[in-house]
Amino acid sequence: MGKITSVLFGLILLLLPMSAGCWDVKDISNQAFVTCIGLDAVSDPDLPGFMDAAEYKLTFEIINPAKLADNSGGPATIIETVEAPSIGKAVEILQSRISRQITLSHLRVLLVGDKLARQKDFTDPADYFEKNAEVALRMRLMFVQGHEARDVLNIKPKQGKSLSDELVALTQIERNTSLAQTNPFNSFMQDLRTTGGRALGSRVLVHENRKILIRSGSAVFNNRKLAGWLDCTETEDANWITRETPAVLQGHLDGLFFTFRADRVKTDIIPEIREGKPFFKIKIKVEGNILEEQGRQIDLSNPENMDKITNTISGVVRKSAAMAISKSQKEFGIDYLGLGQAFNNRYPEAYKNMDWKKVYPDIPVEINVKCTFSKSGLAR
Amino acid sequence: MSVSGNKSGDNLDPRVVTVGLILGIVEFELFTIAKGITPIARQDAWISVILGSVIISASAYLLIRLGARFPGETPFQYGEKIWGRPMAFFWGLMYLVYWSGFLALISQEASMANRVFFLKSTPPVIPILILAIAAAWLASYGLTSLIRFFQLNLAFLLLPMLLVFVMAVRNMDLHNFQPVLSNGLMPVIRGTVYFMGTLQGLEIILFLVPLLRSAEAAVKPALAGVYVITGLTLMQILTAVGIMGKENVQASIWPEIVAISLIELPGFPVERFELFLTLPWLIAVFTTICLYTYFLVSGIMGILGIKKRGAVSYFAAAVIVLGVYIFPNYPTAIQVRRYFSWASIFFLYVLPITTLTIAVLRKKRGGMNG
Amino acid sequence: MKAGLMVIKFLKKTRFVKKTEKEPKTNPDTPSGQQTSCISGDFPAVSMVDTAPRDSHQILKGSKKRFHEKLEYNLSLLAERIPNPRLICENFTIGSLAPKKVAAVYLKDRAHPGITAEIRKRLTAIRAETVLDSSYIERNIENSSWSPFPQVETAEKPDIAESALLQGRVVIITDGSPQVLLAPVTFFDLMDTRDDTYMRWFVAANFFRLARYIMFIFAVSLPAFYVALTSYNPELIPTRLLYLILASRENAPFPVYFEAFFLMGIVEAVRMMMVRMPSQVGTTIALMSGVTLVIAGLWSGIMGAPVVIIVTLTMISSFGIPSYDLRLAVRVLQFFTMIMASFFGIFGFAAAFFYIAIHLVTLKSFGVPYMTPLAPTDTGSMGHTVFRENTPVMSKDKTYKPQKQ
Repeated sequence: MGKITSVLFGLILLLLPMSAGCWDVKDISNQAFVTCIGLDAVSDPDLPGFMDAAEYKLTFEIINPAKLADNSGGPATIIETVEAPSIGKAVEILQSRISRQITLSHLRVLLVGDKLARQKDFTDPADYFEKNAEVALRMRLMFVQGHEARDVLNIKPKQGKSLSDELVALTQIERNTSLAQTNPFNSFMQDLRTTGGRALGSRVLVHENRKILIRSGSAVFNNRKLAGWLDCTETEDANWITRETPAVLQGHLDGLFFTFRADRVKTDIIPEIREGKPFFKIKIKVEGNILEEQGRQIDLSNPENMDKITNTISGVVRKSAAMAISKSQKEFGIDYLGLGQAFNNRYPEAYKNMDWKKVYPDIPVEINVKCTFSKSGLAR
Repeated sequence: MSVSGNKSGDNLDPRVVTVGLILGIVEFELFTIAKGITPIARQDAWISVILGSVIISASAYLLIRLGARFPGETPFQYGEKIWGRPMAFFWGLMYLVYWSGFLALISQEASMANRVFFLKSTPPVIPILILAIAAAWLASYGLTSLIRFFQLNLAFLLLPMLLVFVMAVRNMDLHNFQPVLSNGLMPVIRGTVYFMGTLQGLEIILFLVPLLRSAEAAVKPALAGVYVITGLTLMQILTAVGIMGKENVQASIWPEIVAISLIELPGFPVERFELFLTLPWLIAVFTTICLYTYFLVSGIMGILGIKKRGAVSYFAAAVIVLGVYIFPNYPTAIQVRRYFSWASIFFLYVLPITTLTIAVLRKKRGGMNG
Repeated sequence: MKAGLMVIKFLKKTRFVKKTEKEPKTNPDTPSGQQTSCISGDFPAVSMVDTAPRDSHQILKGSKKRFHEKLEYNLSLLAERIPNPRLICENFTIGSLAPKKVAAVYLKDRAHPGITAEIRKRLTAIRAETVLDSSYIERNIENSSWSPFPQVETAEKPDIAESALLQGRVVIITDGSPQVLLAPVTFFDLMDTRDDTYMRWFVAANFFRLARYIMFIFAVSLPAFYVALTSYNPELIPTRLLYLILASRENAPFPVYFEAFFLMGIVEAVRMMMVRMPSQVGTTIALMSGVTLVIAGLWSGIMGAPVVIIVTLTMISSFGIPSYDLRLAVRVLQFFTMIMASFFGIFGFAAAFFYIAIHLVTLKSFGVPYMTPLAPTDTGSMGHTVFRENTPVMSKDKTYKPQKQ
């Protein structure tokens, strides 16, 4: 009998919490999944009915399951724009327009408009996303050049059911090109934190007629605010130093015009102190093969010719990297290439004692490039 | 009803010490240790951990020596012989306070993590009640069953963590560990002490040794256990600091989990790698809760001389549930946790080793000196 | 027939050691522990009904012989397989109104004396009017009849019983039941099949065994996991999969957990229907009704496609478990994990896992921990139980070995 009573007791104990109902059950079909948020500055700052003036204009892309099910194509999303003093408030306002429980658990892309990025310290709007436990911190962060984030969200996706899908797919392909800068939300925030406000972000372009989306180039941040843009060539230059990504480059050699694809790039930044002043050596190792030859063919099995070609390629890479450094030092005066960080890792004491912003533009940099072929470059 | 079968009773294989140590010590703190240790030792946290493992394995050896001097006796029994009755009673009470405090702390942390990740609006007491009843149930079966439960769960704890680490390796940046030893040796040593303090649960050796077939053979398994824990801690610190950098580790509450959530593997069908970690951390927290429930239960029975195991078990369960409400907020709990790490140094290392020294000096031994 | 006679003659020569044991107390109502000869002289005749095939399992390899309903015949089957004087048989008569013969057979020096003594004690303690089937013996000698897990294995094939005897386990034969009981048992014995042992290549055997463990975990947890993810933590579902689930559930009127419970119930109903129906039409009708329900449900949008996939996968997985009794246990545990997951999400799922694990580690079958040799871990014995090692002879494990103390 003791056994029966104990089992009954256990059952009652188990059922006790259940009688009160399940607090957290939120059925998947009763939720509205936000997949993309566009952050913009408010064009008209006064919003009636609020104590504080509206600071942000948020555009949400929400999955619409009804359209997901039908196979006729076309976007399966709802686009809503909300203006509010804060992001938390904006989500609350959005809830009053959407009949399902809003969740940010599948937020994949955060778009930031040009104006907001220039005006606001980026850590302010980012804080909401860092604090929210639902948000996956590896979501993509992109900055829209010259337009509002809302303009991007209003573009019809070429493929797929939503624009966020397309943007995510684009960033995944980017691993193999060096035309664009990929910096997800969390690592962007980390860069801002470790460097004190300097970072490179990804850039999105909207074509003039607002129909076509281009992902290339990068956004330069200084003091946690947008300072300028790099176009795709400049990004390619910068990528020799910041990201070890495959790249396609071209060179001329006595009437031969060839294309070389660098499959493997390895960059070493070596800081030194020479006569009390910082000095950088940058070693780039490039490994790849010839994609095409135009103008005339050259015997690639000849070691002499190979030497000539590797020298040409090294020259092209060196020039490109030097361009990136001069752009960063002379034009922007912002160390977005991460040289300061490398210096800090090596000489923390010296770094503390100098004003990096002032020193940086005049630091001499020496670039060495070593090029090797992974394949012969012959046909097949 | 049961037969005195071959594997039951006080005849455990010495190799169980490894499993006991791993699952007894590893708990949610494994996912927060980077946050605690990086402000002290900065990017050299990994050196602290390696240094700490040497000291911990030495003290694990000493704990086994202490247990081996008194074969077949529980710590409470030989404690009385060494310290004398009143002193042993006092230390026993201190241990009880320490264990209940720690039990309350981990239950609070488990509840907190549960509220953030799983059940946001469920009253926190109910999930903890479910865990507490299970823990009291298991603890009432004794250490043998507890160890068996650990053995059953070992693979579920280790495999996902290894898997996640392997996936994380690609995303690590070794530059985050530079410069090595930039601030001298002192921060590293302070970090070592901190790491030693986080290994609450080392006492399990004292409780296990009397049940073993041979105490001498337990040395190697104990060292293996310590090294596995060190390895896991190292993995966590490498992942957190390697992926995020030391500044960002300090900015997040659960750095390891955040670090894992940053991993991206294109082509792999899972997007959120935290899923792999939920199982290990639930197991780790639950096994530690079970172990401390057992300590508390056997402590109350051994020190206060109460014989009703069931009643004591439910008292321990009540401590777990109360733990959810004791602390006004999470920062307080973290603060208390820091103090507990320092207290642990005393309870885990200083007191047992002093006991051993006294036992050696006064030539106390089990059996003949009675 | 001549071959049969030869066997009988051979059997007559083999000696059984009669164990004479003094009953401490003899109850006049139930004369148990009676010592009779194991072989009554003639090799018992077996009726046609006995030889008709029963297909609880398909036989791929190995002997097609099986136990029949006569105790004497079953005993002689064992004697034929192990013609050794160390094979001991103890006889009991259980039942006050309609007594049935029950025999406990074991190998001397192989079986743990504590275990045989315990089995003897439990058998003599049975007070019943009659024994309808061996399952009545089973429920009387189990450690815990509340546990969902069987603590005694049933076997139909003499070679399985032989292997059990060689491992040091006890075979309990009941007159009138074609199933013999093997005790004690561990979880891994229940997950073991004859085909694994008879398979030529040990790598394949291990592969299928591993697959069976995974299927066991699937069978217990898949619906619960689905409910936990979709109702509590949708952020853990990959986004593209989420789109598919969302699209399929667009018009679904019921919450996910309700759908899952509903469909699991249908599966159970179809299964019961298949058992009850005569075999010629049964399969077809069951199949038709099941398929019709699912198609109608999907087409009308009452249920989503993912839940159908999950439930079907669970059902398939549950058939990976070779033991019928264990399969029954798993079917009920499915609902337990599902209830916990419906109320507490992933946390409830984990809690259910802990409760089952605690029960498994504290459960014992005649003194042997149920999860031996995994918990308590004994890597030396895993070759025969958890895995199938590559050995030229039948591998033995120490799980049931008597300990020298």
